[in-house]
Amino acid sequence: MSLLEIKDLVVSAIKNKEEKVDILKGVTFSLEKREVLGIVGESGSGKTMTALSIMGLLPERVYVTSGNILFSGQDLITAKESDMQKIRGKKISMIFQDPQSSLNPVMSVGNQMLEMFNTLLPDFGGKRKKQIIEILRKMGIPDPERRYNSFPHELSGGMNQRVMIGMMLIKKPKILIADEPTTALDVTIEKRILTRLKELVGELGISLVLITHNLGLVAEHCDRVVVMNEGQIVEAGDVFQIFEAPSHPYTRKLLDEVPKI
Amino acid sequence: MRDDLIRYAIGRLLFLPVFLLIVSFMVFYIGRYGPGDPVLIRAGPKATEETVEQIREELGFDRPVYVQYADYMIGLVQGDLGESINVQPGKSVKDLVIPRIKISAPITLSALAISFSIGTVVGLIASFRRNTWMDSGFIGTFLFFSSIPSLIMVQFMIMLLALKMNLVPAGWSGDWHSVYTTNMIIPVLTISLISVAGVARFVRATTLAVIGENYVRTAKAKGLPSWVVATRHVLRNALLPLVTVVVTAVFTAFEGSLFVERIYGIPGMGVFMVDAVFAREYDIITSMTVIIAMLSVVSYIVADILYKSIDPRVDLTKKM
Repeated sequence: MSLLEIKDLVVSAIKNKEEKVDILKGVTFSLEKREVLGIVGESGSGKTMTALSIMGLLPERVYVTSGNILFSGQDLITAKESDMQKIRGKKISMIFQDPQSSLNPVMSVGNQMLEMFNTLLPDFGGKRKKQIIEILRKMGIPDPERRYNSFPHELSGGMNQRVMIGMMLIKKPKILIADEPTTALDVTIEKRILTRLKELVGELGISLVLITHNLGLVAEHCDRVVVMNEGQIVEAGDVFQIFEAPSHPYTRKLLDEVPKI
Repeated sequence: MRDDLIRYAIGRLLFLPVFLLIVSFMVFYIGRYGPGDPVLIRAGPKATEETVEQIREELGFDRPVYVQYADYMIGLVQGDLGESINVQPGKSVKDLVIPRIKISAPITLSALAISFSIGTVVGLIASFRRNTWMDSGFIGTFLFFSSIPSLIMVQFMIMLLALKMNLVPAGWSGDWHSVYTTNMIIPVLTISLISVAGVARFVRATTLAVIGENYVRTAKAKGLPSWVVATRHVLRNALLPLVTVVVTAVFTAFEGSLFVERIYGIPGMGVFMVDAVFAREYDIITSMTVIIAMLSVVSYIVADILYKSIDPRVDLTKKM
């Protein structure tokens, strides 16, 4: 059994009382343990909506019409909100595209990370703080003791994304979904962050779902890839296989658009 | 860390005297050169030219305006707000104002406390249950109350609570000593009921804006219980803009409410100030304007400092 199985997922948005639009039209794919899966596609192809369906965090007026999302045998679509709260951040984590706006502006980085422990008990002996500083250091944040008390606006976008990743990994989830984690950052930082992320994910034995529109990143980091277009999966398979012999015309089009150096 | 706050406050307070000088100068001159003459009011319609001039001389209004202004300002910096000409001739403005503030301030502050607490709760319910019957029901009900003019509302309250149910007096009785009695109920209820909708809609709007923010989605993705997301992430950010509104409202609370005071017969500040204008009470008008101007400036400084201590992004040292 796969770690995560998505079967015939249909997600619709309510336009008005009568009309609804299908955003995802029967998406099926699976994720194995310790695997790095890439989801590629243009903006609007349904990559983020797929991720948000897994998290149970679809925006207002958007809901799952049919299909299953099985996580270790448990269907996340029919799961209660209280059960989802036990899965989010602990079993399945997600990081987002814009790190600057994804962190609470009026809370220090350390306090936001402390929330991951989700307990009312005080931090006896500063054990949790130590753990947080350790993961910040692992994420390559210089001077993590000082950064612990910083606010998001005092850090760069790259630093904030490192904080986000560190935060979402602290409970050692089974799956980490990274939704365009480096799109808002510049290229040199992108490379460093993704390398760090892959090392940590490998070290902790986490399955990674990397959502991106950048095929170069997929080629470099992923084991398998799912190509999405207009709410459907047009092609899926091994990264080498797809780059060697893309079978679907849309995949060929995407590959042709990658600038050759 | 706290240094910049103190430096900011001092910088602003140093500017205050200049500002007050300009305000007092303008109000003083507008009063003197504007229509109406307190001397004529005091002398009465049957007074002869001679009596009028005699009174004018007694009150010192025959002197050049800049001399009068200097005279007034010298008194003001010593804490002398001037004296009444017509309302209660010869009585110092300070003695007239203080008992009235003791009536108006508690009433307005109680009403503020009620309307802000109910308004915040209603706004939060409306935003967390947006587009449901609770949203439109609550907001609609309070909008209905706020669309009733206060002068109608007071009369309705008197009819209901005083005449029908006989719970409270139908009008104010006594002076400021009797403010903390059933006297207070109708004015406080009226003012707060009218202003709940404004607060509620403000809170609803700011909360809805915050609910859509990315960091709220992050908080949910962390697996936090809904109440933690609501209080720690949504509430704190949503209520930030309310700080300025509350602080300014508190600082100017002593002004009272004209209509409610007039109709319920409360000897408060609202009525007092309007009467002062009609009686051309120069000293009362100028002194009250200067005090209100001063309190507004101070309230903004306090709001800024409070804001800074809640929102780490605010940088008060930056030049504006």
